[in-house]
Amino acid sequence: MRHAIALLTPLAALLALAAPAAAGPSAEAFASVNAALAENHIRPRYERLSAAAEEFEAAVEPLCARPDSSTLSGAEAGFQSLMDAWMSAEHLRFGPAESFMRMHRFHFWPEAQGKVGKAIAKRLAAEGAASTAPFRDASAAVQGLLAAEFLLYDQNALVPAPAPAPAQCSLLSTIAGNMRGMATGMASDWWSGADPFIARLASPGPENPYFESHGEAALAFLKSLHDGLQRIVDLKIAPVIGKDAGKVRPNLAESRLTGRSLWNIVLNLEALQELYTGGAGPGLAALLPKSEHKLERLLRKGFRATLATAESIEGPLESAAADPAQRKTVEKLRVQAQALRQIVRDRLAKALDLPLGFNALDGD
Amino acid sequence: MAIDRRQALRLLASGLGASFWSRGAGAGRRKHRYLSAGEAATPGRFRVAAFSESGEALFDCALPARGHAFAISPNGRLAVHFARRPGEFALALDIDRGTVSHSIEPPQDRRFQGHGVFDRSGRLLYATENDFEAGCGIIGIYDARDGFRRLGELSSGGVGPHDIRLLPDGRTLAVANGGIHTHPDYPRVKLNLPAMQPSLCFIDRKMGALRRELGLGAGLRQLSIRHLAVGGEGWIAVAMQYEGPRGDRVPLVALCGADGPLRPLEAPPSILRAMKQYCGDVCFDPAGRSFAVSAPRGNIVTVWDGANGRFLHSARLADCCGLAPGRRPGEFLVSSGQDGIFLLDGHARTLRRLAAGFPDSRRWDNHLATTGSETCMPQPGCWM
Repeated sequence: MRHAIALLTPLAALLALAAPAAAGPSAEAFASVNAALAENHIRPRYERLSAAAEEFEAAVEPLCARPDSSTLSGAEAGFQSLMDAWMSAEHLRFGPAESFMRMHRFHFWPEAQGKVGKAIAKRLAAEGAASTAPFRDASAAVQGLLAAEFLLYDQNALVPAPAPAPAQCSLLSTIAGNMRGMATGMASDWWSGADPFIARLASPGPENPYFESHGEAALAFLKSLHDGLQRIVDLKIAPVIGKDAGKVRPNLAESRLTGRSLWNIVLNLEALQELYTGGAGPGLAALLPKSEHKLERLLRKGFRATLATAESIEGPLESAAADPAQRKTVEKLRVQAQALRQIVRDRLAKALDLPLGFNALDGD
Repeated sequence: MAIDRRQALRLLASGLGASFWSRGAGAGRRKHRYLSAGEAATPGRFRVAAFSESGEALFDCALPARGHAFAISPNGRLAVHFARRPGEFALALDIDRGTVSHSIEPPQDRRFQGHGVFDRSGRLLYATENDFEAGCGIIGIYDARDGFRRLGELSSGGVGPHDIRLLPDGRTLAVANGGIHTHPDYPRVKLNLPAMQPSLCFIDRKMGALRRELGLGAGLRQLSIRHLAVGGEGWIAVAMQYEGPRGDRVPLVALCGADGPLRPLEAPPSILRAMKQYCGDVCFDPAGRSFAVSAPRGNIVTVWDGANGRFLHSARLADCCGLAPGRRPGEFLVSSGQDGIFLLDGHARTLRRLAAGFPDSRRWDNHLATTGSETCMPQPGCWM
């Protein structure tokens, strides 16, 4: 049944769009693209995140029972695929990801001052005093991917080679279980239970606390697209690469310990590209009227070019930015991602008649 | 970016004392002048301007970067305009002459947070600042009679201080600690949302002591306390911004008596929803009896009874944010980030454009100030 709906929705979207657009897409067009994106874009991402979180938790268990290089590499592989899954879902910052501060607890970044190391040290020191508070109420700095990365990969402090000591491993295991809980929680809040979020997305109205109209629900997707691009430029690239090769700040790079900074950006961009162009079903581009075919192609081309630039750089980003041979390409990546963001903000929002207005970094 | 701004500041400072644009703003009209920062038609051209109540431009000055709010000296002749946070400059504007008299920079390890206030004598300027390495809120103290030399600092009593007001006793500073930690490495990114603890703190500015700290309880920890206005009998109206899930319905306005708790106010559900979890500014009317709260994301201004905290009415206005008291009781000036300055008559419940021309020439920034009454405190005789 689900598959039948998944097949029908793109068709419905096309039909709805066949009508001449007056001022922006019709409510029906918004509704069918929203439904298609939930089914084809959001659902597989949270399913993958849940599966990866379960696998990571399962891989930490043998590491703690028999710490050796084989169980360690098993846990590291599990961590890497969980990171991949998160980076492909990171831009979805509304609905169940907002509840219980899950998105912050899952990946507490950027943390400005090495909070994670300190928070873990504090947590480990306090463990003797047997903290009875639920782990979800602990500092967000010890709860998610950044803490797991620290425990698995930091060579300085807490992890004696070749594998974590029992106290560290027990914390790692708690973190893994916590992330599994959050990941499966997000998936089930979207699609299961008495009041799934998908129902909120599909039935906007005055009584719906999230969305008053189908357009407002579509705006949540457009914001995900815009804010995702802004995150890449303002958090992941600009602070790290600095003004010139002499002003690179490697400590500000994401996933410093695992050297994933550039790979994270590639995964983010791929997810945002799919949100726009569509994957198994229509994306936001399907909402553009025929008269906007130039804009439609420009954005398509923009995503392809930006991804090509990112993929042509030999990462991590912080090394490439300091490498005279690669510096120009790194700067090109920043300019292209920034241009994409501006086109989304200034032209796509207008063409879809969705007021992007304020974003997460605006306001005061 | 930092270097660009500092260079721009140096350029600006080299022209200190030069009149940028003045049309003989005489002292007689002093009480009816309004100030706001804004973006001129060419994007990226940030300016600060003063205009009369009829909308006539009195001066118009280029800014090195986007501006935010003002501290107005008690005699209404000097306005210190603060950069938007993280702020690297504040400009002292001589309103009568239409000149920049001083350019103020925070210490290297501090950034301005956008707001400030003078003491009663007009000598001391208190500015909210961020000690970004320690993640602590600071109130910087500057001497207006000594070239705005920095005299020292006080703790703001919390993280991420934003608005600051002087209470009628002349001694107590009320500070809105939004609870949000930011760092110039990631300008404007909120770094501690899961752990935020907003508070309204009362600080004895002479002793530097934290007299009272008010919050809204654990359930509303993600409700950032950001803007304040002081009304009759020292009532403090508080405008807030919610950082939690968008489906939550939380109070966005609170009222606090002289010694009482911080009391969240109720609004009709449709109004609360329309405010979109975000208040931009708050201001008492000239009589200090009613106050207005703007909600720029929801395009709505709300008016409340300052004595009992009852919601009175609302008006729709696109991207409305800056608020200042009007001339008569019940009147407010409202600025729009799209264009225009409007007069909200709280008694007649009407909203009309103040004047065409200059007020329509830019996208006004978050705050409006008036030289008549800096804290929106009622000062009998001042307005009539």
